[in-house]
Amino acid sequence: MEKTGRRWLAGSAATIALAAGGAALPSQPLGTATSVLLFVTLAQSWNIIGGFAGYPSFGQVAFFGVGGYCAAVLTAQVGFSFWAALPASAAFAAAFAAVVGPPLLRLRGNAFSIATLGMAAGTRELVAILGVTGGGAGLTVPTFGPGPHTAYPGALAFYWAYLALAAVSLAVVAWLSASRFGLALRAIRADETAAESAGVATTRTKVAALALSALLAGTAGALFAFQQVVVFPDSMFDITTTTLMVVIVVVGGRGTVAGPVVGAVVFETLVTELHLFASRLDPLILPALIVVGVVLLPDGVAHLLPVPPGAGRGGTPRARPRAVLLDAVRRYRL
Amino acid sequence: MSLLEVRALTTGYRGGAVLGGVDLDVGPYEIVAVVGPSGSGKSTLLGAISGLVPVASGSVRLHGRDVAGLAAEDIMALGLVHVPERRRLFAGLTVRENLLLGGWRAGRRDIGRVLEMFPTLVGRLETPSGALSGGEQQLCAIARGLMADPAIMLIDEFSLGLAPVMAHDILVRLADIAAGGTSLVLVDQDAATALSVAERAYILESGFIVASGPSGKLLADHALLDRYLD
Repeated sequence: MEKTGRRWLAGSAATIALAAGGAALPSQPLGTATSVLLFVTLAQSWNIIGGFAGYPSFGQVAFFGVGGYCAAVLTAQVGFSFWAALPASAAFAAAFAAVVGPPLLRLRGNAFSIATLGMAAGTRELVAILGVTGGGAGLTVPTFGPGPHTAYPGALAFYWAYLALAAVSLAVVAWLSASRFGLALRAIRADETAAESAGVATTRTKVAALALSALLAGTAGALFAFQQVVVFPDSMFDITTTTLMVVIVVVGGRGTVAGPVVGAVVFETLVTELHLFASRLDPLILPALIVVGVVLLPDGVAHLLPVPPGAGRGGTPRARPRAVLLDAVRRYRL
Repeated sequence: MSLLEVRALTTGYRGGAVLGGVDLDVGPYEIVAVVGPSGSGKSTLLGAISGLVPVASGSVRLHGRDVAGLAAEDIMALGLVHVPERRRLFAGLTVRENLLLGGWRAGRRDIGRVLEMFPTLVGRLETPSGALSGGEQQLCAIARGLMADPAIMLIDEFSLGLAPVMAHDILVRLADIAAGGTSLVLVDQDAATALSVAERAYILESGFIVASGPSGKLLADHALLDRYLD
């Protein structure tokens, strides 16, 4: 069997095993696992634009929030069932990215990052003042009652839904890494002017990447809105969500398929579990993990994996854990 | 009719003019050199023709169609490829991936044709292009350009940093490429090298064409060469 076929088979088997395993988990670990799966999707979403294309978006939460609010509005104000609102919300988030993308993606580097931060803040403010979104008072996704509603499916069903979404996002990024589209994104990241002179339609490619990343983030946002039942601008447009996406990808390995998965498992588990044991240290936990992760693993955890994580065939060689640690000690005089 | 016809082309950075009204013609199967001292505007001229540098005024006609102001990828789709200065390969990507990117716009994935012309690259396909020698990088850059099957190729500083033997090897291949039907515009600071392979040449100085004509005639004019070339 071809290597690609074996990978798909292994991925499918792992997904089925995780789905079955979820049913056996007690409530608290199930919650942590659900959170990890949500962040696998969000990190892969950021990985497409920040990792593959090299455009570090600090406003990715905007697409998560737009997807969530779209689902809430469609179910609460229009009478859609949640399952009909889900694809519509994902498509709306992608369309939103396709509209805001062209002016944002004319910028590069820090200017792009700051502009995306502003775009997310602006979107949040807009949602907070609009009547249809419930403004600052929030909006409730109808889960019971005489009117149109979608019954709340419970924690295990959400675990399965996030698992399915994480598997899809992983498959999308795996496809991307081997595709012509992914090659163009990596060329843009390496040298955008050279990519242009090689004939890559850079603007269209970047906007398509942003829209694809927004599609994943918007779907996750819609699921999150349903899971939370009541959505508020502060919860759907929380800057910490973007921070986590960035950190997970950077620590896991930018522009790799496995990195965001590894990063999400390590980070979300640590953040959640440390919160349970020492909630007073919450403000310190995330920054401390970021510093430790970035200092010790500047190229990401994925570069320590036995299989080179490089997207496509040109991956960078595997780093040796001991060499990475020694390098960190030398650089930072630890 | 010229394949490429440039008329009164001007461009500049931050208000300062770099090109002051350049005229240039390239015919089918022709090799044309643009030489001049550093800072004379050679690279800017190529960038303005290929769409990488904004044009202030003037026209760039490719196959009779004015392409001034079009995006680089659209000009490339019309058959003009630019191999920029310092090769601008994607260092982290393999040679194979670099070649595939050259055919990206045209949807060409068959690298066999260019590998026949550059057999040196066959054994290096899975090597990151940043790990190639200078000569191999130049070959890879030219091969990447040929993946688009262009009608005309602009090559900037093709001999930069190369040993004379390698520069000569590349010149021989460039002559083969032109004989195969792709016109070439060569820019090089080493005037003698560029003029040795080109049929015609333009001498650029401070953004203006100060002399042009058959390469042999320009090479024989020592006073001209001493005055304008390094």
